[in-house]
Amino acid sequence: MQVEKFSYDNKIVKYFAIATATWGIVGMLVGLIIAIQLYLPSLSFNLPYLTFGRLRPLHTNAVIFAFVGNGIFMGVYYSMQRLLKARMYNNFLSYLHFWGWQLIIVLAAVTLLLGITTSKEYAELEWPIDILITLIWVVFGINMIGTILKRREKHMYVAIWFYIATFVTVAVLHIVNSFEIPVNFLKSYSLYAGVQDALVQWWYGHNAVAFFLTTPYLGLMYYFMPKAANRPVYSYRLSIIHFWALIFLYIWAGPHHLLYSALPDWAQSLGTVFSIMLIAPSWGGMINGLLTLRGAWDKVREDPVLKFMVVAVTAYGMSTFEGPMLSLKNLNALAHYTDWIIAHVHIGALGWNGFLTFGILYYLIPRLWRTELYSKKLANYHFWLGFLGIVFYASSMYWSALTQGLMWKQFTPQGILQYPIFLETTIQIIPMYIIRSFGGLLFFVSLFVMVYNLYKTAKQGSFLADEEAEAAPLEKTPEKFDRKKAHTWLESRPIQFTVLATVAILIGGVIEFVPTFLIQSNVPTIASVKPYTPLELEGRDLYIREGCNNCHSQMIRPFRSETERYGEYSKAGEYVYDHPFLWGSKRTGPDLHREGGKYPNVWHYHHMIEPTRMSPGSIMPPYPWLETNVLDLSYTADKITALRRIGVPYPEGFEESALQNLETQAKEIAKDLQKNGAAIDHDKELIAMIAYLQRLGVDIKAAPTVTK
Amino acid sequence: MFEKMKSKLERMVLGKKFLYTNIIAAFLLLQNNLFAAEGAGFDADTYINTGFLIFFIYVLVMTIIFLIGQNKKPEEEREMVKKLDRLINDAKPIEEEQALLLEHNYDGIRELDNNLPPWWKYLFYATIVFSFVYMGYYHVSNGPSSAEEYEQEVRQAQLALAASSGQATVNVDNVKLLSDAASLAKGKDIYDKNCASCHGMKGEGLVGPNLTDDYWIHGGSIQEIFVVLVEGVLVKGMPSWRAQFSSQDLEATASYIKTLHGTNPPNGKEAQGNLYKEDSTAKGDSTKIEKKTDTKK
Repeated sequence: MQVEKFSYDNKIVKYFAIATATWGIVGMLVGLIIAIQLYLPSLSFNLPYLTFGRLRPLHTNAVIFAFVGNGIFMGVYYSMQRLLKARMYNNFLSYLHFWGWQLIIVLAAVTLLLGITTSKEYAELEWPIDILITLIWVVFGINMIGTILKRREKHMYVAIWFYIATFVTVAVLHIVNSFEIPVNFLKSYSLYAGVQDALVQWWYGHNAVAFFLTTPYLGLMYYFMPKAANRPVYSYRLSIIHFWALIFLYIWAGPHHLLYSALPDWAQSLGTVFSIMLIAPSWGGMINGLLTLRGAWDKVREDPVLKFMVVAVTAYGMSTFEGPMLSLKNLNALAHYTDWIIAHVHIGALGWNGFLTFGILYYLIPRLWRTELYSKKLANYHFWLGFLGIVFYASSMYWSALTQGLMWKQFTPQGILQYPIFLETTIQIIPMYIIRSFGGLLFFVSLFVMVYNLYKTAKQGSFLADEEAEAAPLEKTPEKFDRKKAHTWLESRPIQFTVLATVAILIGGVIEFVPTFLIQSNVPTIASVKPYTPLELEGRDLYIREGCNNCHSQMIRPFRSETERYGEYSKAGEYVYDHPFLWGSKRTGPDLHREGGKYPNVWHYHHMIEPTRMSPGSIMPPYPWLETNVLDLSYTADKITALRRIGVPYPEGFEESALQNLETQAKEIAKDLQKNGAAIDHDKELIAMIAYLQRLGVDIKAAPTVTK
Repeated sequence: MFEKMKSKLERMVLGKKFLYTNIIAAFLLLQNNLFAAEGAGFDADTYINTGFLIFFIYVLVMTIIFLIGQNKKPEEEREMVKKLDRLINDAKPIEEEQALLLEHNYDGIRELDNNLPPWWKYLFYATIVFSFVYMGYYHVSNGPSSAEEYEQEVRQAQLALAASSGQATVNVDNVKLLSDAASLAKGKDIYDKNCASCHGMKGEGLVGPNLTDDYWIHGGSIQEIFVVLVEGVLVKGMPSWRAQFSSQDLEATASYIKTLHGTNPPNGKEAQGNLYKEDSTAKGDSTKIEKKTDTKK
């Protein structure tokens, strides 16, 4: 057999590695800032661009798509070439992928700071960027599948299976969740409304965790861990079973983000049971990683690469156990909306994704630059600083969650809320916020230790852009199908493999979506619920722009502790005109679904300009620009038209009288404010915001069917 | 006997596995409340006690591990881990793994073909069984829906309230102007935390009306103030405090508000409403109030 000579592209790996470290620093810096803002709200400097509501999406997007995203591509481009014994399919596509992805990140950062957002978590980017993401993702896919097709290794290793599943599923998730109707170049409304939008969003959100933060990283683990430990993978059989079980089951579990919400009960239960069934498949990855280290534990003590990886895999095991536990109704009732979820995701992000990325970087950089690591000691410092950071972070957040969660639910023996004032429970956990930001600071500092160490390493070595390799070409004789080796057979057929994986990940989504969309009884209509007036609609868009949903939920769960605090629990039928839904997932501030009519207009006027005027001790940032900005009315009519096209029953021609309608309502509110000593013109943004807040949750009160 | 137990214990708690054993124990402990999130007398104490129990067991197990581990030599320890590996994971010892090595070689990575660890396999089966039981309970047999859980919770709270009503509740007919220091201090505390943001720290009025002058929009008698606190004046933005405070607390708050009268603080808001004179408290007033609240509902 003739041996072919070719080379691996190391330069693209280097590019992605530098991007990973750079965006890691940016993403975590933003995280640190918002962590401090929670006890020092003045850190927003009264600037719209620096409020928590706008920075928080920037933090999550930067960490997930910029830091981890580039980390995935770094590891995939390095390992795939070697596992398939082939250079990447096409150089141009590789670099188009790289620069395209960085462009998306920069666009994301700029638009999010400007308040251009769809409000859907981890999918906040507006439609032109959504299209760009799709294109670049397809570029990545072509490049990957092209490489697989021209491979010189007959069978695909388990890491490749995970890469394939990642590519296919992220594409499906992103496209389905991003269906939206554009109003203009920078504004769109989700095609789905209310409960359906929530279901699609959390199907996406949960599986972004699954197929962006988990499956590609499992693939990386399967390559880098045995390489670093120089040990065979523990069990091939386990790989097969946990791979297929994982990708099939994961897709169903989205509704566990919506327990006790207005989502139909049957869908909630599916979310619970599929989460429970995920424990074993997730742990399959962990034990296959940890047991691969059998006989190499001495090395773990010595080698920083393995040390990082072991903690990463353990963190993975912890969060994939905690996740299913949080999907149980009783624990979810306590933990949802609290910092528990924040702790949970950070075990995953800092421990699993962060530490595995660091391990890979420590493995790759010396090899790419053909030298030894500059300092093992510094790597150890990094390890312990980062580890301590996680410990401080997680322990303070768990404590904060228990404290606040229990305070929210506590009744006096007379059956009255023990802590009726929401702010009281916030002030109670401020010390925890301070400790959390200290943990974050440690982790942030540890990053610089790594960057310095890696920089010095690169400096002392010499980079090899094209690494020579040789391998025999693939034999063309196809393998005969043998039932006992069915999976091995499949591993030599990438197309069939991809099709099967696609089927596996589609089933769960289809079974959950179709009934929710088609069966009327899943979203019972309420006759008194009407579309928003033009002014309220504009106010709602301001609410989205300022990212209020990052701290305030609009979903009152059916518990006495919530109905006593906020009012009647939320019904599916109340959200039928909500494009997008704004249920939120965290209560840093109180729920707002029954905010309408709770306080006078003038209360909101003062509270928005300077929250502490009305609520001393409040950690909400001030929004003084709402008082001075003139409300932009240039798209009001287009918004009405767009919403009518996706099913909101505005009468034909309403868009023409919309501005008049808006002005009348705005003048009424302005008059009321002036009467109460707040001098403000009716054309200001604040008026629209107040109109929206006063509308929240009031429709149902007029309903004859709903009585207390 | 003791030796046997000890070795059994070792098997249970040693190696990486002790963590999971612990977590599973914790999980089981949490299940005592599986089918009711809040209802059936949700009680913070239960959670805290459970938490403590978990912590206690954890400390206990860790101590045992420490004691067992302490008098083991490294070689013995390694030997034990090996034994455990075989027992728990059904793994081939490292010396014999050559037999399990698959022929593939991916960039130097080889794969063994160890059996699925039995504990893992059975855990997987158990979660599948759990799922069927769970779906069956809630959606085939008649497990409560979220809405039913809520209704039950409300019913129970009402029963509990009725049972504890040996403590008479204050209502518009028996509300009194309290003057003892303890009640007024309590009233002041509630006022400062909840009312001052709208009515001013001294009752001078901000967003809400001045509470120190002679003019009242909804009446200035103790009964009338009490009713406003209980019911709120929702159209004008005065919230109802019924859900947040006991009727005794609101009686104390209303009494404290009465003490603000005539204090004439700086920056007082201009008068709103009708002149109210102290002597005009009469039976007639309170009936009027009751009517008012009826129409509001």
